[in-house]
Amino acid sequence: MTTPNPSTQTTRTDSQDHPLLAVEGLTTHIETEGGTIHAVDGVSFQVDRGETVCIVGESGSGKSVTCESLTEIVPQPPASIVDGSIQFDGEPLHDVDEAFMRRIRGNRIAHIFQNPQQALDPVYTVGDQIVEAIQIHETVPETTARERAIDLLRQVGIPSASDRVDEYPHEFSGGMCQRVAIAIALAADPDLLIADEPTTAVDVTVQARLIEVLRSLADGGMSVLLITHDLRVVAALADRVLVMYGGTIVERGPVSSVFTQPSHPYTQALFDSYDELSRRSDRSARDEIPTNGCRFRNECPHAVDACAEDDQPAFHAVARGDHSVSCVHYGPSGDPDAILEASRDARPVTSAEVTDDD
Amino acid sequence: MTDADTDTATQSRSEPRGVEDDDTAYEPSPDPLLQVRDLELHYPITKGFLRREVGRVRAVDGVSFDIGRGEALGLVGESGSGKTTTALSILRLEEPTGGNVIFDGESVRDLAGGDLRAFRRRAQLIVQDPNEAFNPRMKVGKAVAEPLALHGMTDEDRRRRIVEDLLERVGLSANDAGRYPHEFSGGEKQRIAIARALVLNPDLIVADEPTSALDGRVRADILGLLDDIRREFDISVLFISHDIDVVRRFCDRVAVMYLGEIVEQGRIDRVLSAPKHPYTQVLLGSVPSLDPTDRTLPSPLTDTIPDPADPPAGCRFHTRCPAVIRPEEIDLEPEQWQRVAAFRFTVQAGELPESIDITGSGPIDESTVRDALDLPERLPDQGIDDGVASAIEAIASGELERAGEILEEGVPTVCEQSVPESITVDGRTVACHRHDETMPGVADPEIMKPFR
Repeated sequence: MTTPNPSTQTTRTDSQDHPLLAVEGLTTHIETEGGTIHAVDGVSFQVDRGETVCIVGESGSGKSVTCESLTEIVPQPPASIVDGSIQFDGEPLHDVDEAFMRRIRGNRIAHIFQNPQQALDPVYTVGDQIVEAIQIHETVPETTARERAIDLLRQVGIPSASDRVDEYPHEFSGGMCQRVAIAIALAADPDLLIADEPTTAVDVTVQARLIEVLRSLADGGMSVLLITHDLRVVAALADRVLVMYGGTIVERGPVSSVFTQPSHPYTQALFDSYDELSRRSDRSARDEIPTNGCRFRNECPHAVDACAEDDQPAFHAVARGDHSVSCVHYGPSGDPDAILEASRDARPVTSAEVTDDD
Repeated sequence: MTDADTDTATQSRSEPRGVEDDDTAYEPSPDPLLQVRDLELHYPITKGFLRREVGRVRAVDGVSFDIGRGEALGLVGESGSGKTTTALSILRLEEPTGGNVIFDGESVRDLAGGDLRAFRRRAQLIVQDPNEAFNPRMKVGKAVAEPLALHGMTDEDRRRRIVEDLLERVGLSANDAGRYPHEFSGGEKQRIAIARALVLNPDLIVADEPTSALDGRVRADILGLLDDIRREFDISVLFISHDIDVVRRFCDRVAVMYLGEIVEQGRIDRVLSAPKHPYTQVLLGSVPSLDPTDRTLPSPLTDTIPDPADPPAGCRFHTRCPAVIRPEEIDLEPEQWQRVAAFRFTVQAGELPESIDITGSGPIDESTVRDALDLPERLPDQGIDDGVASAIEAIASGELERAGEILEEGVPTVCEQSVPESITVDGRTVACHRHDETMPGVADPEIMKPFR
């Protein structure tokens, strides 16, 4: 009942041969009193039109900084984007002036965040806030903007939209606030929606409805870059997955392939954390994450000397499609069988494995 | 729906009811540490200068369960279901307004003075956000030792030794006692909070969303640590979480709460692999599968959680229940009945689909409403069809409230007529009319998808 009508979406048929977003070697450092943190360290990926790409990783993996670097909403300083190229719809997005970036931000790339209450202004009605978002990006009369605001609220599944448009954020529940935040993000009809943990603060029943809203946007042709720590949300939404650890991408591929055969030892550890109680009560978060070679090597059960070489292990193809992994064991001289064997027990729980012991 | 599903549904309905009627509201533990009976916490809603009571928020409304020694019970449910209030009333951090809590044979509600302090030594609380659990200006060693000092251990050396020992036990080092909270990560702070909860050798730990502020492997680590500790020291745990994955791994039994009541409780493997209460089914089904080819998510009849100050009559979940029972005299196919019931409760919740906007400018015709709600042009049951038609007419003329009244009268359900008793079905207790064979009406088999 919350599925917006796909026909209200602008159909994006202007697909050219370049991807909507192409990021190459993105590197962002953050200066702290304790030294420089290599938050994002040479990240490359693409998002195609109409595609949903998920970046998954734990806190501190660099997934949020990656996305905030794209439109430079990451605070500079302390952060600085030191390297990399970003092509959006065939045009460079790095080394551009602030005025240009402002036109892109919101107009063509919109963000939503974990906590929608923080994104909404408590003293304005939600309608005013959507109208403002529409008018920043386009000169339209107030009444037209208001009509469109009501349409947007309907599109994200808010009942009695023409009533609720005049309500204040505190009159909405957390899940409804997130819908309003999505409506504001959609105000300028962006090509790319960047959603940073959009369902983390809500109940699973509310999350299910938000997943449906995001799916219907993707079905309507919008590209979505979703950041989450929750593998289940990835499984529900992603076309492709990027797994991040220590500022680098360690594994990438179509969701079906990555979920049936998680191949990087880190990805396997992430799946393990869904499946069993960890017995590693001695793990210390104070272990330095290396800034070269494989960032995971200090925690990896399969680490060898070669893991410390170079900037980052090369990507090697794993299985079907473009599923690849940045791990020396998958290279020409490596033997990935031991790792894949170890992951036997780490496969996601499927319905078949949940059995009633009657 | 397969034949096999239908079989299971019929079977479970024809199973005999629990033999000991008094004992069916909970699963009695052979060696209970904590017995909670009909626990109730109602907050008065007052009005005016004299603070006259005009209503009550039934935050916890007759909750019963046992926790055995060394056992972990998970309490799950949506926000607002009363999980945390239940925990706080057990610890008497909130005063319950009814029911009883027996801890190791003693009634917690009667404790006072030294006895209450002794109880609070034996029952400890761990909260969700470790950042809020510590005074930023107190070294963690002192923070962990504080309960010892408060409860009368004056020997400073002995306190220090205990604290250093505990910090090592939770995976930190003795030297960490001299650091301040901000020097630790979220996971480490939660370890320190666990150390502080352990310092008084408790018998019961109440953990309120202890891993919800953590993610991935750190979450698994803290869960593993808590599990080691409860087994090593034989501690009972009341584990509150909205995260089914976490409860599945940590708990022996689970109780599912909805609007202040427990709707289903039993052994974790039974409840999670074959939930019997439709609410449990919706809750578990809403957790996305780790299999990316299985992307179906269940929809309750409405998304609106009713006001706990005015809970629905009968079964409190009936306004959202996709498996709500049809009275025998209503002659509809299962899917038709589900849609008509969804229509009624959607209208009563004032939550019409976004495509029917009665406050908007455009006129609404009957076919728009029927389309939006997936209702067929004509329903085979004449009475229902008339009711639906006049409700749609009322909606079209903007009278949503009257439409609600028409539907409330015209589309009655069995589930709202009486409060379901907890009965034993397939090794767990469940409070749902569908499993009570003495109930009238037609519990259409498996309108619900089975849980994946």
